[in-house]
Amino acid sequence: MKAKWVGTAAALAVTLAGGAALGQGVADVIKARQQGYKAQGAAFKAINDELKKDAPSVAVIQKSAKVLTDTGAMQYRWFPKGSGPQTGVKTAAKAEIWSDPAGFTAAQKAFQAEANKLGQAAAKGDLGAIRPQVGATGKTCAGCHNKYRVKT
Amino acid sequence: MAEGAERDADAKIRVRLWDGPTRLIHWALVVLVGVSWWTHEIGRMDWHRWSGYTVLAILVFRIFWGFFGGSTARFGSFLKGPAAVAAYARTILKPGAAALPGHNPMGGWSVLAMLLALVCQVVFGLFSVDVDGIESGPFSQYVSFDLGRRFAEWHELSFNILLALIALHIAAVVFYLVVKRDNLIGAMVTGRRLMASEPKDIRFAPPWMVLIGIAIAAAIAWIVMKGGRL
Repeated sequence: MKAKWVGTAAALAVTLAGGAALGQGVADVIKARQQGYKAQGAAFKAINDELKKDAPSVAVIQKSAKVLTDTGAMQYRWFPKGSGPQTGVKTAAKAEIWSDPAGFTAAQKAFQAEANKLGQAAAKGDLGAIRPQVGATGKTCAGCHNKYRVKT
Repeated sequence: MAEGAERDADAKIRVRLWDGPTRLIHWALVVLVGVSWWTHEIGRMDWHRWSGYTVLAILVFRIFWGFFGGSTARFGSFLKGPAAVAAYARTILKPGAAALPGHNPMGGWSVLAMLLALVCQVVFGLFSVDVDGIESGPFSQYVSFDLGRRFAEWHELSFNILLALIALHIAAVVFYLVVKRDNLIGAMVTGRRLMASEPKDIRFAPPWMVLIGIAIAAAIAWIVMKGGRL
């Protein structure tokens, strides 16, 4: 009887400690991906700001496009299982990300593909190709956000 | 009581209070606040910006009209000191109190508060950027992404303040209609209101003043739309 109590208490302690450790990890994961998206938002704004100017700086566009292609490659690691809305950490990520992984991965790939095309257009410095590609890349952001992000 | 009301109804005359621009501005803002809200809801930010530029032009015109428009539209005529506001507040529940031509001392401040909230709304919107860095106001290019996001938060906050002021305004107008049996809504449509006597100091601005106001409003809205570049 006593042994059983000790065993239960020990199991509980391990669960709590493990849970706390996981909780801390989840918070970091969520924070990291939010910073990633924030960097994307800032990069997008920087590109759009340049395109509003009479003489856009291709260097600024290239630098910002690189943020988009880099994060486009990294984003697949941003949503490990257990980092969704059930964690209690504030996140706009919807549960659909994990219940519809094929759809979500397809949306991520769509973004990466368009971001890479934008990177290529930026590398050539061709504003005529950059402008429509910024729009095409932006559409893939919206396409994913409409389904997998809580509307704020 | 019934006898008095009947005599009043017989004696009242229809007086022209509000000029065309003031009425048009009022109802255009009603429509555009709704359009701005709806276009944001459905994510049509291109329409949202157009709605905002139109509100901006209307606000510029309204401020111009507050100095050069008809007497009931002028800030100097309807913004009264605290003593006048307190005196009016004391008479508000008295049934026989004389109707005032134009904004009453409390309503005048309500109008100014709504105009200021709208100015904040437009200015914050100009600097706002959305969370993805894709949709933005024409002046967001002069601020960082983080500051642009702050402006977007203020844009939302000032909209809620504006909604509260509009709710107060509607409640006041309904109070006049139901409790005081005074239809201010009809007056803002027709420009005319039943009054006991012809008010003395009502003046209307000449038509060419409208053209000057439109020219200033359109010029400023155009420059803003172009991100401040001529």
